[in-house]
Amino acid sequence: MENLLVHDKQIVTPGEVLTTDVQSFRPGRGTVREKDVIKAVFVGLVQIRARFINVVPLNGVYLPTVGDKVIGKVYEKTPIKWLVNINSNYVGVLRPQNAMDRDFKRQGRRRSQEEQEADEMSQFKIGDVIAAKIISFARTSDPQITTLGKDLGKLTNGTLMEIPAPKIPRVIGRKGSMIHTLMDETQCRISVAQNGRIWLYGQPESIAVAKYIINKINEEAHTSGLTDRIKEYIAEEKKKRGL
Amino acid sequence: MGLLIPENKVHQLINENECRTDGRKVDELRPFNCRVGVLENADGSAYVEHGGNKIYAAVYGPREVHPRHMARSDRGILQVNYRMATFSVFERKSPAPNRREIEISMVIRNALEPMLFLEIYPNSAIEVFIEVVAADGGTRCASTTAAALAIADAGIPMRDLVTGVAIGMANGRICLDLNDLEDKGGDADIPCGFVVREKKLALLQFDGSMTPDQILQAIQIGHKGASEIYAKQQAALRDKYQKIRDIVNPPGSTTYSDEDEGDDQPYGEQEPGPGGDAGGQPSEQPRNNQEGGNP
Repeated sequence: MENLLVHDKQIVTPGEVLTTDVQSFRPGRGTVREKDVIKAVFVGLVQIRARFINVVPLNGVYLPTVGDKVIGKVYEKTPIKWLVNINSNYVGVLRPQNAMDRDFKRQGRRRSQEEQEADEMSQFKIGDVIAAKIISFARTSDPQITTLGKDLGKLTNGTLMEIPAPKIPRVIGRKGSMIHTLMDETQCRISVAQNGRIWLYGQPESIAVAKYIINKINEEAHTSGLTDRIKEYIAEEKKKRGL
Repeated sequence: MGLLIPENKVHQLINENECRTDGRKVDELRPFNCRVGVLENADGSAYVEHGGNKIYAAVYGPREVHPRHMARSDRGILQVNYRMATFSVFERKSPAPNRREIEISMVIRNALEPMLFLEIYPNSAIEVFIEVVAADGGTRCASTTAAALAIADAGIPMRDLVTGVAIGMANGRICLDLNDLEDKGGDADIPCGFVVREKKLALLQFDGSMTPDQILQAIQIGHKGASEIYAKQQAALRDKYQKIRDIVNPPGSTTYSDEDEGDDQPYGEQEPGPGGDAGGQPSEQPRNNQEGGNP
């Protein structure tokens, strides 16, 4: 234990040695073991969980994971698929069979195949913002996404904002404490996606407050007692804006 | 202000008092200063002042590769783009990319590539743009320093930072951190990129004449200088976050509590069930790809 060179929540830099005691500690996420030391690979916060040493990054690109909810922008449409920007180094691929259920295809009169395909592909336009879920992903090919499911599909009313994906858990808070505080206090509907995008819906004034507060969370993501502080910030900001 | 001195060769680079043209001792670094997060639109960025050099580095990515055919399906690629501003040198430089800039881009890429875990980003590119706004000798070293900082700032996993510093010979003496005059008028120049903690070299070029013993001695001196710069690099990366923390959680006042930390439980208004963990994305991969492997 005496060879632990860092303490919990310390900010470390890439290559910084966390411990020389590889017998009692294991390299967790964000770390590598090299010979007889464990090193950090990110600028991030140290997290010690039993035998594991983790480094939680403070910035970075979203890496798709199966089951994640993401908010994407449709940027390209071909006869058989939509290509969706999911704020990652990979492109989300949305195929018609993942975008509409069977009933949609059956309804109405029998149509020619061309008609039906044209209809299927008319659901989303280039520039649409959609809430989707990742259904399959391996790093060798682009992730497949679906808009079938509860609360997925086209987002029409509201505003989009972006923060680094590693800071999303802070916006949500433990068991959703932060996001509930935010929604209750600002009277906004806020939908948070794992890829760092946040969809806000409500009165323009309350959206402005919510955006300001989310940027504040982004800045102070690595500090303690954030939820309480955010409550104060919201009260202050609402007073300033006369809400 | 080395920039405003017309470029004529100075013969006496070290005077009777062991002082160099800018008043330094032979084993002394030029003033070094750096910051990260200076550019709003880049994923990661850094600004480095190393003597008369002023250098910005911006990192984008990992992102899609353009042109598409350059993508590799087994690993990501690193693209480095070094450029000197037209006003960065005494005589106006042509804005077109020249042979020297292409060479330095390649050299910096080769220095940084082994530090990255490119194999976890197949079909992607990490792009580094380096802009020299003022040049005063040793720009490739200072650019390497800046690029390493910017990559770390972008949250891209790295084995270690790279620290650039040049060593050389002037008037028969080994000098640390050459400036423009010593670079041009001196006997030898060794630009180095150090991996300070591991005592390894990531970049090594050589121009001039020295004996093998002198080169080894020079690299020893260079490592000492690089350690000083490395400490400042680490401080810059840490300060970006530490400063905010010191304001909101003054030192001593904090009892570290986990109460509002949500990193184990992704949760959203519309999200049923557990999702992925956004907190530590490329985590597994660096671990699996290390040499030797875990017991």
